[in-house]
Amino acid sequence: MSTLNFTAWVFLSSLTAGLLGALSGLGGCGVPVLTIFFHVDIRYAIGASLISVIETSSGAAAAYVREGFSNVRIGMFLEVATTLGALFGAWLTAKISTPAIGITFGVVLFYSTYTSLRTKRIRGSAVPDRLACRLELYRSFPGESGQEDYVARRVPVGFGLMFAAGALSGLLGIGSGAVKVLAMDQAMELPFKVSTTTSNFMIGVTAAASAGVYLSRGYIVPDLAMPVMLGILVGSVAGSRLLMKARVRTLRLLFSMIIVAMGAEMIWNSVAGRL
Amino acid sequence: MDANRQQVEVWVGHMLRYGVLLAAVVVLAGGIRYLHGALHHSSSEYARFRVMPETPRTIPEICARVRAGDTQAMIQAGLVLLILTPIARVVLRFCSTLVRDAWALCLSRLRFLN
Repeated sequence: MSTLNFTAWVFLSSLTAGLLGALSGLGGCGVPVLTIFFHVDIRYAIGASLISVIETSSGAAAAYVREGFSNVRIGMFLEVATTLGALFGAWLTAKISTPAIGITFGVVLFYSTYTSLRTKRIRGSAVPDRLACRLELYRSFPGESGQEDYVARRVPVGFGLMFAAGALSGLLGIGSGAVKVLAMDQAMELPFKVSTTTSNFMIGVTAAASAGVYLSRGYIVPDLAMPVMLGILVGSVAGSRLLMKARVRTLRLLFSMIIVAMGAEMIWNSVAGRL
Repeated sequence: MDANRQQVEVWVGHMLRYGVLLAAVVVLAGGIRYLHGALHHSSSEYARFRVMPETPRTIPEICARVRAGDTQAMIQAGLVLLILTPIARVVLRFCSTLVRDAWALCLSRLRFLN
């Protein structure tokens, strides 16, 4: 395939991925698209995907901050855990085999699709912990009936889960928003909107930490990352414009099915030794 | 969130957007020049990982090769700008907190002296 053809096809598929990602709120399909359709080594695919993760997270952060949902203090505190995790994950990529990365990727895709479709929340009866009060991890957010107060709970569990989220991000080149939301929404019992927006706010820094390691190892190649970056940018901007008119629920379901199929394909290819 | 802090967050949000835009412009410019030069070449082989000597991997190396007119290094420079954008956000936020705390401390000392 000529360079021009290769670049054009990667650009078009990234544009589609960015468009569907913005419309459905689901991500993580950059790596499977590059490995399954373009037979790119998973390490190069992860490098290019990290670039798109930084891009979408940074592009959307301005809107989230303005809405007043994201808690920057909690975000900055938990970023310590995700950044350390990301550096660990990026280090791990060179140590474990490609099929192992592929299988982990497939499982994480299944999990994130499951969490994005689930609406019911399971709540414990934990009390606000002393650590959260000492670190001032509390605030209020614009709820349905005016400003609603909240305080973080189980801070050490949330911090540990965030380390795991960072490690997955560094290992797989994804934002791992699903695990970040799990840590904040389920473990720390923060309001759902605060969890999702704060998670998005943090994703860019986590990905930047791992991208630095990937760049220094030569996993980020410019001629592959260029069409991915530009395609995702055009796709996500177009997607956010179309969001008002689209039937989001149907799209979300359809895209979830595609992601599950790609996850299954990645696991199958890893087991069959084709990855 | 107080008004000042909200204002800082809005600035930081804008900085993130402009950082992404600037990075995209640099990558696009490098990409156009790269494609123009490699129009009829066959694409590189990415099926198996190997360290490619033509890929610049450190910031000094990228800068040196951009000055020498290397188009791949120019794309890489755009990617580095993108990677630095969220890091700059953390630094800015950290500095704004330091300034705010120092200002609050000064005000409290002044009140104490009065």
